[in-house]
Amino acid sequence: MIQIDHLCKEFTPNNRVVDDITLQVNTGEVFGFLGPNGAGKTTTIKILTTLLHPTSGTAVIAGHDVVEDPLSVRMSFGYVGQQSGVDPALTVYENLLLQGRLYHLPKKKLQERIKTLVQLFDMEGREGQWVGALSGGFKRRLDIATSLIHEPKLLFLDEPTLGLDPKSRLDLWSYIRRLNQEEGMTLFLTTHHLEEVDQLAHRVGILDEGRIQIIGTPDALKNSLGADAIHLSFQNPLNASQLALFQKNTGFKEVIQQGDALRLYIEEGQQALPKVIQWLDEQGLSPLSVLLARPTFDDVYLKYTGKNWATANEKKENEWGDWGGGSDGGKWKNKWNKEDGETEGGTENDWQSKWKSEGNPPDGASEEKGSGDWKNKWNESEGGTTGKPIEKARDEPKDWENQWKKEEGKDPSSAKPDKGEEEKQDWEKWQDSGKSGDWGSAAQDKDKSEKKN
Amino acid sequence: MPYFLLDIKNLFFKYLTLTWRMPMWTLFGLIQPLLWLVIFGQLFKGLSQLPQFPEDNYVNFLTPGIIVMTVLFGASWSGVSLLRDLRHGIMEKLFVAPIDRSSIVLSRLLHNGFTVVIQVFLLIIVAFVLGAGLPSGGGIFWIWIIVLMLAVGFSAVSNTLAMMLKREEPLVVMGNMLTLPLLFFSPALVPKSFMPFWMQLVSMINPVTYGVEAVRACYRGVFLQPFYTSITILLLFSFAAISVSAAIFQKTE
Repeated sequence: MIQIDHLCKEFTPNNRVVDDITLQVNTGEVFGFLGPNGAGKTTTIKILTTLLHPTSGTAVIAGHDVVEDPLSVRMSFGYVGQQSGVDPALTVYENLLLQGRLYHLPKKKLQERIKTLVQLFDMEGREGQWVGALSGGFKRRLDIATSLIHEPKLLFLDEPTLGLDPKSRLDLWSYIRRLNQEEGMTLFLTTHHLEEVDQLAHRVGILDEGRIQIIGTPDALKNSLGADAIHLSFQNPLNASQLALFQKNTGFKEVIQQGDALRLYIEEGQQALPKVIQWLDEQGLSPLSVLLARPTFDDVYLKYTGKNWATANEKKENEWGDWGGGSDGGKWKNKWNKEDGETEGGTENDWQSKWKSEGNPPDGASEEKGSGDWKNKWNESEGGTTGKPIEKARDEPKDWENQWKKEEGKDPSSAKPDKGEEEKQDWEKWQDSGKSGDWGSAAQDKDKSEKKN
Repeated sequence: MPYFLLDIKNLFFKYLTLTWRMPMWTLFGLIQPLLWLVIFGQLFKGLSQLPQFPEDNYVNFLTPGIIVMTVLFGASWSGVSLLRDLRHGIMEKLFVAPIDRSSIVLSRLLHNGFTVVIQVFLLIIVAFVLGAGLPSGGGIFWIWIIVLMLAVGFSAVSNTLAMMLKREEPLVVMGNMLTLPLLFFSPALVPKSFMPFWMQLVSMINPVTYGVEAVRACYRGVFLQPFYTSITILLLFSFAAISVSAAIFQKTE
């Protein structure tokens, strides 16, 4: 249905927004383009929909070249852009009618088509409503309906669920699924929601800085990482020789370092976790936290772009468009970004150094605990994109507390880590019990219960 | 009907529906010209007592100028509605439809011309009430043709600027910056003979000048050679403006 060969697009010379993209989308397939803002998703879609001219390379849609025969190409696809596209000052019916007239449908055919689409998208009885007064989810549905007026076999959806609330998003997903399964349409969608491609797409292409990093089915991409992920966090980032220890260990299918955190990908993680902890101990490494999780698309994304999903999405598009696009605007933007980054890093360091300077022993257990809490909080505030691992991170102190309570018979709320000595002993005890396997089984149990859910 | 004309017709009626639903905007567009007509007409009343003044009543003289001014004000807002369509993705949806982009431009310009023709019709009635008289002979029909050409031409300029600037603020600033000088460098408010020589020279390359003179001729009922020269120049101006605007629509990515 879509055949793209070495497609490139430069808005300014030597600045490739789309860089040598080659891919094929088969008839009846749902293809998802995944990438952060500014990765080149929209630019690619605009080339495919004849809105932009490629700098080099070719794209053929339903047998027609997008540059040589744009009119035939336009008849063969429907397009739902990022902005709504339906006129808010017209009614639902008028929008459909106008769209059909612009595609030159005969009168009778057009009326039939409107009826079908109104039914398909559950808009019965609302044909006379002003589009401006409709909810975002309904507007999106109408948007898709209008773009299907000429019965295209191919539909482009550019971030279709952008700005929708979770419920509307789920609704829209079911409509999109139906188009593919019941109408047999080929869908090409872009998104920066990991979940969305996971749910909808047969195949996914991960796009970053204009290049395709990998194409595959969502499952294959996740399986390429191994069945389970172990997230470790350390007090300080590991140095090269420490990292090499992990990389030399053939038990790990993939090792990804990210600041002071480390992700290990492994088969049968539940069984392996105790061994991993033991192994870590043998290497003289003591992580602050250990989590066992299923690889998500976040992990896939991290592997193929080397970027965390949350941080990659911070790179925002230039709001001022052409106006800020002058050399000054660009510089200004860069400067802003840099300053922003600096202050963020700055607060983190300040926080840490302040903590250290407040009379906490540099290598004492209390600091371990303190940092741990801090780390968890930090993770929590970093946002829920990673899903499961964070949930676990939040739960962990509870295990710690319970264990402590059990073994020492102390009320955790009354015990304050102001006495370094005492605290250290507890810590060691707890660590011992962790070695004997308690810790591992606790994590396993939790994993099981999570699975049940 | 060929698809090209059909597309123009469909889009023209769409824009007309939008205007029809919000008639207040068309009326608001008349407020400022009416204020000028009343206040400026009173302020410069004495001008008509000067011996060189061509009319015996200043409102009589001013009305054609205000008609052209209405056209300028109306047309300068045309680009703003284009930006609205661009921002809402409505334009993008039209761009992926199997229609020629020129039909989008032409339907927009025709619609702007049509709105201004209605405004001018109302203005002529108000001016008549204020004592300006009515166009003589076939003057009223000629006025509509002149107004249509001017409106289409200046709307095309506004649409072109909108496509180039892509933002509303600079577009509105440009619109304001252009309309008043265009009026002052024309015989809309004072006769040409009152202008310094250099301003007279500038006024000769100003399409507004020919619009004002042609409308004035319609009021007087004098259709001589200068009138037809004005009409020809206006025709060329609007044709050139449409071509540039259509070209920029075709080229814009």
